[in-house]
Amino acid sequence: MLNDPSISTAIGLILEKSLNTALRYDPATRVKLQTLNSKIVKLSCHSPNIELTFFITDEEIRVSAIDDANDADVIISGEASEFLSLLGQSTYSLSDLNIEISGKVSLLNQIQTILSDVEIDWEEPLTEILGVVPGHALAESLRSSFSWVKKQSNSVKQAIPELLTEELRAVPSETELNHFYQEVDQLSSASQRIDARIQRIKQTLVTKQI
Amino acid sequence: MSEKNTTHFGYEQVNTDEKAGRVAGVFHSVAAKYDIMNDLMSAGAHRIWKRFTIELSGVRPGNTVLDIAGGTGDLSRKFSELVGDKGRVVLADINDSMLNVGRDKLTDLGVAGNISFAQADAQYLPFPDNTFDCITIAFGLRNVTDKDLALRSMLRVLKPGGRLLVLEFSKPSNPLFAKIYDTYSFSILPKIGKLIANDEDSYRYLAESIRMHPDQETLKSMMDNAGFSQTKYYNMTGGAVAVHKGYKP
Repeated sequence: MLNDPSISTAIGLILEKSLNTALRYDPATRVKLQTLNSKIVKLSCHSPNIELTFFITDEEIRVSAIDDANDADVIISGEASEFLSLLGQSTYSLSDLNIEISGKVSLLNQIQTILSDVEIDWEEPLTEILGVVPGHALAESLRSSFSWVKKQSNSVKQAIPELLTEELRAVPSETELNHFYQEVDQLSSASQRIDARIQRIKQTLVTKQI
Repeated sequence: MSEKNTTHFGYEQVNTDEKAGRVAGVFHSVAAKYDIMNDLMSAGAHRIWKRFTIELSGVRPGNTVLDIAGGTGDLSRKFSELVGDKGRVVLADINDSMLNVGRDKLTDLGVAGNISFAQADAQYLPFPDNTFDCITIAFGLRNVTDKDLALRSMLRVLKPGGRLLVLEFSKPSNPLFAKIYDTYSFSILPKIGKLIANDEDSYRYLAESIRMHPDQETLKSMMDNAGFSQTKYYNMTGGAVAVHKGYKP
């Protein structure tokens, strides 16, 4: 069931609609994208097997689930879990993940740079694909899921430092660290002052001998 | 009534002359609520099935496309975009109510210029031989009285090398899924039909006609017998729907 073509078609459709809707309201990015006209990027995902081909044209990005592009400029392949771990990250390094890239790697960098400022709203493509009522309901539940995940992630971000510094006392707190850095800075300044005084005394002794 | 002169209308045996009229009655009744019912019945999946069919069609700028049983114009709309100014799309449907809804919808969406509309019977397509690069029939073949005759008619109007795509309900491959699907089709679907379109019978016919439609392998051999080559099919949503593709040699 997971290798059903309707799944890759649905994913392709949602991606295509989302990207193109975002591009429609962002003429600057659209102009930048024209430099990549007729470039083809293929994404090959394993477990489940999903093959998507991205055709970049003057005006939009077309996403196809049919594997008929033998002349892709760059091919990205890897496990679905690796691709999923990329979602929601503003900065990432593919080298940390088990994702293989073949072809023109520089093209990926260009695409990443161009699309980095694009903001995607998932509601329009979902309503277009699923209809107004189910699409809106799914978009709402996705929004609240993302918001829950974000909230949880923020509270985890807040709770972990507290646990490590206050409860476990495993690492110093930020205030303690800052105090320590200040002491180090003062020590460094004091040693520089001593060094300067020694140099001055040395200089005085040399002058008196002469 | 001899067996040769009868055919099925859902689970009912009817005279072959009678089926087209009975099917027409169903579609006259559901035409106005057709799109919203499709969304509700398939939870929007019909758009994905159609999208896959369009991708599989490989339609390019300049192509001539015939969308049989095109109904409310979902496929024709996308084909019109794909074939461009130099191409041509014909949206054909035997039912004038469906055709009117489709034509109004496409006109409202600004789809015009390279599209024309024809009220046509799939069994006797009113086009010259070797006219189209691609023919699609989405959720229409099961309503045709003589499917073999319709397939031969499609082969005739296709150009050599042209392709036919048949998107139709089919037989789920997983027995457990088939059981759930049956329960949904016969218990829930007619109720949705009654609630939304105030027409329980038409949606019961829909469920019955799906069960009476040839399964994947049977339809593939029917296409082979009609003269198509390289025929193959793609199951979607666990085989509940399948797209068959074949070329005119």
